[in-house]
Formats: sequence, structure tokens, C-alpha cells
Amino acid sequence: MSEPQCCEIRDAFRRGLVPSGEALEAHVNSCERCRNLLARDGRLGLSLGTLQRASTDDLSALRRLVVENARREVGVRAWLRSRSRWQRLGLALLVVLVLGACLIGKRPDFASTRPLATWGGIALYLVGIVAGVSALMARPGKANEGRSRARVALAVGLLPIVVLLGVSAGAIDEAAAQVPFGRRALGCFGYGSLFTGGFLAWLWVLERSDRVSGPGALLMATSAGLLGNLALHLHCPSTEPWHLLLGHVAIVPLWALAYVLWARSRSARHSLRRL
Amino acid sequence: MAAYAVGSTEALEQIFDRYAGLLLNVLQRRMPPGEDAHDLVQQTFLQLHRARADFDPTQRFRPWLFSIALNVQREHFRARRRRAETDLTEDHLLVGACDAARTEAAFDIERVLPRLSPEQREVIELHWLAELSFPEVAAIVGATVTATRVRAHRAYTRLRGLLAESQPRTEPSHAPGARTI
Repeated sequence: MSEPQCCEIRDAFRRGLVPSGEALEAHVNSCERCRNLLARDGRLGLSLGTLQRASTDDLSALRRLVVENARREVGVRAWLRSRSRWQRLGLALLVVLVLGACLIGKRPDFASTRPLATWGGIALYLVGIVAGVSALMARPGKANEGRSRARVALAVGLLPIVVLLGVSAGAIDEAAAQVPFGRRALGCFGYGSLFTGGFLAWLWVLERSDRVSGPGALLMATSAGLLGNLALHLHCPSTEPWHLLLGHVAIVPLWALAYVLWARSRSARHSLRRL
Repeated sequence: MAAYAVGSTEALEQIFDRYAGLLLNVLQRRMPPGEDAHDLVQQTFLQLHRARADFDPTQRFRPWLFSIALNVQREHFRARRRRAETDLTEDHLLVGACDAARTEAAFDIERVLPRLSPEQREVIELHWLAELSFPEVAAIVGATVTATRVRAHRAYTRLRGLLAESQPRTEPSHAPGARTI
């Protein structure tokens, strides 16, 4: 029935006492949980009352460490990490917008083609993925269990965009076609990696946790790889499938693999100061 | 929390004094034998410090804090590739009893608790050890209040049945006292 009575009963059991009394009878008649606790001379309640509690007699050393940790959180990264979730997301997206704005005039063929249709499609697809994953996470009882899966789903959902960007590439010009294939592919890989690595570093700066989970690292690296591919898309008009595969798309799995392994090794080594 | 959000260290100390013991109790119970949860409590408060701007003052603080703590612990288990729920065996039961009857009761409950599903155990531990109300537990486990109550009810009923099974013919030997409320 009323929550205070349930709490009183729980507290009595925790002190090793079996509660009784007329008020209790009325409560128990309507509260099945407390009826279970009190059944058979309060056996379940008394048993639960003995659940071992960790010693909390002296937490002063832990308290000192916690306060010291909080005091050490100074500097630019600490300030950025302590921004709200939406502010950090905004800071990450700002980089994407600035990059897009800086590179948008690099491809002359965009003047004759209609890239806005492709970008609009990609934007719609992105909205769809985010909405779908949000719905997945919002299911009752799945908020915690679904978090990792949602990150993996989001990372996988970003991959078709890389393909879309490749498919929508224009036509390679003659001057570029004279450059050996390997050099061109390597050049694009390096160029894309520059943006991927830079954006990944930015995401790492904004990340709050010292231990980035595998799914979290995968999502961060895939997002950064996507940005690298976007930069390449705005710069390189090649339509050669092997060039696109090795010079552009390969950035995503290679950076994802490298970052996930790095995050895992960091996570394994990570430790706080011991008491 | 409002004072803490604007950077008051004293407020952090107050939060620590109020919740560190509860956090330690809940996290410690879920740790494998031989490991203690002090590091996780430390990590929880560090995450709390970094995430303080995300706290919504219109919401309750305790479920939010426990959500952070349980996420930190899940991440800890994932990093170590261990199961979050360690099977308790008799050789590492933590029995802090003050008399034989309570020792026996403690032994019984530690033996039957692992037979609940992880979801049921989580609800029982948060409700019993962390002293959280059902709405608070519901917010942490990501379920509705009704679903949480049902989960708890089933857990208590099952525990009662399991305890009865463990000693079907003997009456409980402990009757430490009665308290009128």
C-alpha cells in the first residue's frame, strides 16, 4: 500500500526484527510483496535482511580521492567534456559543417551535376537511421541493454553512405588519369585519413569516459571515416571502382579496426589511483 | 546538485557523504570474489563530475546517480570480459552474521539469490540494498513502474518458494524478535 510502511517493514527486517501489529495486518492484506516477506515468521524478510553490506565505516580515503579527481578536472579538455550532451554533439557537428563549407568548391564537375539531390538523400537516410535507433533504445526495459547494440547498429547504418558517396562520384579528369593508380589511391587514402584522424581526435577530446567501449569506439571511428570519405567526395571525382575501394572506402574499416584496438588496450590499462 | 552543477566542491562532498555508502553496497554485491568496488565508486563520481551539466533538476538525483554507477560497472565487466552476475558459491559467501540464526539466514539467501534471473536480482538489490523506491528502480532499469513492481513481486514470490524448498520440513530457527509498527 503506502510506500513508507513498506520501507518500515524493510528497515525492521534489516535490523533483524520481525514487524508485527494491527496496522501491519491492514497493510499486509493489500500488499502482496510485504506478505511474501512476512510469510512463515518472516523468513524471507529476515533472510533478505542479512544481505551482506560492504563496510562503509571509513570512506574518508575514497572521499579524498574523489575530491582530488574532481579538482584535477581542469583545462580545455576537461571543460569540453563537462559540456552537456547536446553541446558536445553540436561541437562535433560544427566541425563537419565547417569542413563541408571549406571543401564545397573543390570539384568543378559539381557545377554541372546535381549533388544536392544525393546529399538530400543522404541526409534523409541519416535522419531515418537516427530515428530508428532512437526508437530501438526507447523500448521499455531495453534502455541499458540496447545501448551497445544501438551504437553498433548506427555504425553499420553509416556504411551505406560511404557507398552512396562513391556511387555518386563524377568522372575522373584526364590530367588525374595520367597519375599511376597506386599513387592516386594512396594519395586519397592519406588525404581521407588526415580528416578521419583529425575528427577522431576531436571526438576523443569530447568523450567523457576514460574507458571507451568497443561499440562506442566503433561508432566514433565509423563516423570519422565517413567524414574522411565526405572530404574525399568533395575533392576527388574518380569513378574507378578499385580506386574508390582502396583509396576511399578502405579508410572506414582500417581506422575502425585500429581505433577499436587502441581503445581496448587503453581501457585494459586504465586504472584510477588506488586507495 | 544545483550547487554542484555550478562547481561547488563542498556540494560534491555532501553528495559523496550521502550516497557513497549506498553505491558501494550495491556495486560490491555484484563484484566477483576478491575484487572490491571502491574503484568503481571513484569512477562513478568522476563520471558524475563530468556529466553534471546533463542533470535535469526536475528529475530525481538518486536514479540518475545509480544509472551512472551501473553503466560504469557494466563497462568494467565488459572490459574484463566477465559476466556481470557472478555465481555465488559456498566458498566465497560473504556472511557477516552476528549469530547462528542470522548466519543460517544469510547462507540461505545467498544460495537462492543467484537462482533469480539477472533482471529480478537487479530489482531486488536496488530496492533492498540501495533503498530505492520502485519508480526510482524503474528509471534505472529502463522499465515502467508497473513492470518493475511485477518483476519484484515475481522475484519475492520465487525467493519465498526457493527458501521454502531449501528447508521444507523445518520451521525457521530464527525468531530474533518482534517489532510493533
